[in-house]
Amino acid sequence: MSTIEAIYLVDTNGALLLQLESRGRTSPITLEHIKNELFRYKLRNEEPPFILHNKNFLIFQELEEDVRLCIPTTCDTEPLYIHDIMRRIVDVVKTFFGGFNASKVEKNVCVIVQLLAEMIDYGYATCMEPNALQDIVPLPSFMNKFMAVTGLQTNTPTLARDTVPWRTAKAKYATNEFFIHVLERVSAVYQPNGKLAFGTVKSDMECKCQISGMPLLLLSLRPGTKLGNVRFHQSVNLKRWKQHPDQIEFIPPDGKFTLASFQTDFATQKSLPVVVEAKNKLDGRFEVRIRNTGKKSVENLKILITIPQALKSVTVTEGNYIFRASKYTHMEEGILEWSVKKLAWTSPALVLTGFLAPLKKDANSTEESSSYSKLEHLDLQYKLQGSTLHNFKVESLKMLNHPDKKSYKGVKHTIIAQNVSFRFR
Amino acid sequence: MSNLSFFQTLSGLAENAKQIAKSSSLSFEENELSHSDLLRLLNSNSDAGKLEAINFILAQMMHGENMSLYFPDVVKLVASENPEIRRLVHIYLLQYAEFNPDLALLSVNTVQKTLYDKNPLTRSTAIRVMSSIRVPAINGIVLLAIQQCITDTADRVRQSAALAITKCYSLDPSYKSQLEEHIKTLLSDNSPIVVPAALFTFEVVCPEKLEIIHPYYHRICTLFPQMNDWDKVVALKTLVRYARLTLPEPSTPSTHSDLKELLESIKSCFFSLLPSTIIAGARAFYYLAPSNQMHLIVEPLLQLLLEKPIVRTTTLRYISQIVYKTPELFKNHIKSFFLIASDSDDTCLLKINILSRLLDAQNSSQILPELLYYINSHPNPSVASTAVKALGDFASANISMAPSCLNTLLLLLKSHNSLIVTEAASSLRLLIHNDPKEIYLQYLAATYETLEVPRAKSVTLWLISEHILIIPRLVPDVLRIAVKTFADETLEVKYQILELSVRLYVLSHSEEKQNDLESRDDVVSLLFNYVLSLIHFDMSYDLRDRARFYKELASTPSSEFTRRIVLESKGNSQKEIIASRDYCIGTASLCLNEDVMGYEPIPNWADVSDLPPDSVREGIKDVLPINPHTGNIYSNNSPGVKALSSDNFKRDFGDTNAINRPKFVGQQTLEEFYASETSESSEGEYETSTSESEDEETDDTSQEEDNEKNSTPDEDTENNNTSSISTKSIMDRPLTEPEPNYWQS
Repeated sequence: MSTIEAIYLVDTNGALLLQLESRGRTSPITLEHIKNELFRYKLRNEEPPFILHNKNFLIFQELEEDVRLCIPTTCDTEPLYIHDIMRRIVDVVKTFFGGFNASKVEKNVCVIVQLLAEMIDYGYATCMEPNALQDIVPLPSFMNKFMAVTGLQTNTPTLARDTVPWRTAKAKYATNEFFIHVLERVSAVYQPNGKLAFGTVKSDMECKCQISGMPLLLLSLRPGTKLGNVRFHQSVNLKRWKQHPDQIEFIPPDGKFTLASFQTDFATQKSLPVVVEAKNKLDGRFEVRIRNTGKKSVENLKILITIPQALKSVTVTEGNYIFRASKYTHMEEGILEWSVKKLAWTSPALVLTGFLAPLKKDANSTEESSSYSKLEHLDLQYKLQGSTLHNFKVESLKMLNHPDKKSYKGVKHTIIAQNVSFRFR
Repeated sequence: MSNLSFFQTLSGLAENAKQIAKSSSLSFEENELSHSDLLRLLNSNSDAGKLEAINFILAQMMHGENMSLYFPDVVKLVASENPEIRRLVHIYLLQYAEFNPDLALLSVNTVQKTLYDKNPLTRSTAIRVMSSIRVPAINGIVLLAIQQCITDTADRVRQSAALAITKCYSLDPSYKSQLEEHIKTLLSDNSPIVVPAALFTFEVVCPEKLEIIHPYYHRICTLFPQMNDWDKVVALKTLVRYARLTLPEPSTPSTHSDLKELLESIKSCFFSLLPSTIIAGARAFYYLAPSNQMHLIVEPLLQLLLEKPIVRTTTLRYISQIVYKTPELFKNHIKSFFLIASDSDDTCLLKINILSRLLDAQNSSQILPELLYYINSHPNPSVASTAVKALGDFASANISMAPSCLNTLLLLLKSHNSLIVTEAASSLRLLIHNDPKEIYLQYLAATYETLEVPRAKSVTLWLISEHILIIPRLVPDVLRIAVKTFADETLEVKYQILELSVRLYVLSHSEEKQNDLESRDDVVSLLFNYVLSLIHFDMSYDLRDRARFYKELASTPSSEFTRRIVLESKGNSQKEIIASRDYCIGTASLCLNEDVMGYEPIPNWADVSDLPPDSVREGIKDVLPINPHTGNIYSNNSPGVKALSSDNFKRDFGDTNAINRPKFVGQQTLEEFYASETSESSEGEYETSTSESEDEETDDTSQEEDNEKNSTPDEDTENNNTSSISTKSIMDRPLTEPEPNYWQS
């Protein structure tokens, strides 16, 4: 049975920031064991695995910024269930305090423990919605403190009627606004000839709702739109979507949330604007050329090249480069990182040229010529605002229960190339 | 945190506000409170002072300090009217109550009173706190509180009552029979947040009594799509076990209608944004669905491969388990398992193992080029060698493809990566031995001198010694080369050198069979004796012992006994199957590949003779909301309060039969809420964004066409270059053959 014994927050030095036991008293040995395990991995300069296991219990742990969440269980448990709970804890703390680092946790430990107590009851996830938690444990704010001090108002939380669990009934805004941001993350591999070998686009619809009351929204996509492999926030009316796959009906939670996530084969989408040619040349020389074939400038472009042996020299026409040693410290290999702040679509190709140092000769070798390894691939990373890969278009956003209100603010698009590789020729 | 008691001396609100603004910026460390300060503040009349003290105490407690010294003073605050103070005191109470049972009893009465509060959140907190105190003396009181709360008008309170049952049971299991009755009551609830909590409690208190679920099965299936994502994970744990033990195993022609109903409800899991809900749904389908519906789990699982690294790795472990048994499910999604830049080493290894399992003659043209790329270029030696193993396994399983793979594997013996060479040698041993050919053995003989990896050397010698008669004229020379470096070799290679020399010696001294070896018996004898003399002084006693054994056998090379022992040919080798334990998907045991306490395998489908009749599930389908005028003291006090129901939470999915649909009264259902608010007005379209988007599409289209034209001439060239798996690449390579007259001199 999935049961959470306790929740510990530990900083990177192993100091305890917060502990909450949710299923009776846990043994002090548990916390001691957690600290010992983390320290052991730290000595080896390794990141500990997600699951630490000894004969008596499991410990699930993950590092977020500089705080490590540790959740012990004494029963076999679905690991991703614990991971999802960890992610939700992080999201809630970020909603309340704007970040999840040791200083923020330490400063607000009493509020965080109240939140955790509301979220988990005897190892069971009871209230995991940020909106609902804000109703129960008010956000720390100057006004709340002022009211409490002067005794003008007793802020007793209560369950609202006619509500849904993910939406607070207390939302009030002077202006009703709803923002949509479509993030498209590209994972792809290109062959040496520039052809796409394979790739996937993962799209997330990030929304921000600043609408008063209890709005019922209908998001209409371009007629005929089919979102493949779509996943929705639980507020979405699946029955309506099943009948009209281009309409999404939902009561949005207040604030930021992810409305939908879907995935498509990159081969069926438009091409990325940045074109890369990567070549191995003679005698350890290699060359990388990048061009922007789109209509918009690309900013903060980064190219990472795995170098299998020592570098002799590098020249670039623009941007900066840095060489980082490999994590396999016994080798001479490393990663060459080339950063370009801006790549305009009108500019000529940018070129990086490098020379590898010769391999160390074997004393017994009679070879006169040196040998060089060949570079294999480079990774490309950048963000592109205002462009989209899909034929995805929002036709309208209506408030069904208040037709006269207008809150739609248009859609913002961002392409993120975060797993794009080009193989050397 | 600030010292708020200071403000008692000030008169103006403005001045208070000013001071609060200042003190808010002070850091925590600057507000250390002494013991006497804490006691004073805890007993003051000011809520601000109490808050300051309790916040300090709790902060220290959260850091692991023992703050039980203040228990008598803190416990009194449980009666505070300030909700924040009460929440903090509750947390303190749960930590230390069992060490101060007498004092804790004083607080129970106060908490118990709040069971009758008008605020359902307060009632919910009351039952949660009372049941969490863990003082055996009040367990009877907790039981009474549970009895009261399971019929509360607020579903949040009923949910807390369900969880209170697990705490009550863990403290005193003798209450089991009473608690079971309460569980039945909660299972008949119509709220999608109460029923999963009841199932959770069921798993803790009486998991063996599946018959309790029978009357509520259809209701649970109806409510399931409306549950939140977290509760679905918990509910499926029980429902999968229930279905395996009480419903007949599905087959393609026929699936029990009750199982169909459950599977239809479970489909809602695949629309979740929560990875664990998708995994729970896929797990349920994998263990419950008929084979013609199994494909529904594929795409939801593949979506998780683009999530965070932990989600990616864990999902791949589950997919690996599924692919091991039913690879056909994923054969249309091979590219999902190609490596991408951000994959960790663990992820890479899992993906290649999955590709290895999916690899067959039909899709090899897709997969093999990728495997070759990983072999040649991946920076992690383990990943590259795993790809070599995949190549070798494929060659073993597909005879028609073996020659091409074999040539590639032979070339890999020259790799600088010792792990790759080791893996290639292991694969070659099986491939060549099962189908020995002269050309391959000649190649191995010719390249032996260039090999550096011990495994490659030992495999080469082993293969040659097993098939001496295929290349009889080359073998003595291989032995000559091998003994030159005998002293520097690893034990593995030394064994093979000894083996080869004794086989060669016995064959060359055979009187029954005339062969080409006969003319070289003098040379072979010299080599054999040389090997024996080298081993005589070797460090390994086992090697020395074996050499003495062979020496005695070799003294009579023609005897049947010697020939049978030394020359016995080993049969065709089979690929050794790594038998890993068959753990259940969705468990930590599978991720760790070892038993974790509390691991429970999926039960087998029950025998048809053990199944209960279908009629046991024909329970009450429609349960009315709680009557506010009976069974609840609170309701008697406030008869005007409307009953809250879960109607607003309802989000129906799938084709729910009208017969099975529960009938709700009172509050509007979410579905009705959606339906009744349909708007007929239309809003104007956004012309600007439309035109911009259209222009961009046009430009992109023309650019794509240009790219296609430019790339056409390169295709032919690349196709020629791509064919790296070719027999020519090995056949063109000259093989050195020693001149026969060298030995005559």
